[in-house]
Amino acid sequence: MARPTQVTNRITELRVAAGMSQAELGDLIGVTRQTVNAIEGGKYSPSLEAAFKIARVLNVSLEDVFQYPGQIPVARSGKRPGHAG
Amino acid sequence: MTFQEKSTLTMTAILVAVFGWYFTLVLGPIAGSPAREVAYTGLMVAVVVLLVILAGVSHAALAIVFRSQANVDDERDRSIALRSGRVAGYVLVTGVCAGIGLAMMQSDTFWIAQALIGALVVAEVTEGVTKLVLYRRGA
Repeated sequence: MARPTQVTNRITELRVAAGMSQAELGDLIGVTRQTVNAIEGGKYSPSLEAAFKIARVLNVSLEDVFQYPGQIPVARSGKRPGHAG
Repeated sequence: MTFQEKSTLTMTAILVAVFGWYFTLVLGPIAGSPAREVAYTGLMVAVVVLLVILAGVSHAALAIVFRSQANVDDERDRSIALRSGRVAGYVLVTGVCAGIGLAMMQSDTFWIAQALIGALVVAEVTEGVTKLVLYRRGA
């Protein structure tokens, strides 16, 4: 079955290194243990706010926790869509 | 399994059981009865009372057994509720259109009522099943 998100993460690795359980991480970021489990398993993409909270709690940057392997479409001008100037 | 998932599973099972019983009676012996308009109304009152009692008792039991999880929902629960509600909305609209179609064809009030009740039940069950699938498969 296809994963619902292409976003991958290193939460399990970082959480275990910090000596934290899923429930403890969930309590700190305001979600249930099951939601932490779903995020770690790639079954759920957290909100931007929850993602920042996870990075803050694990004391790393956002991109140290979450990675997006997909290609970003580039506009013909060579600039990314939505960027002005 | 989150509290919301347990609650959804319980309510969906109750809905299927109670309305399974209702439609077995209504589409069986009651549909052929000359007093069906009165009979289904009385049965509907009994169904609503039964639903309220079963929902109240089952949720109280769940809240006692899983005290720490009760009334806790997070962004994933809300996201799943929104997505499954949208799916159920399509089912409900389809059922209501069927009811309107029956009314336009001058069908008996009894059958229009059953179509509308059926639409409500199928939409609720669809919402529950969609939630359970999203909790398991990912949302």
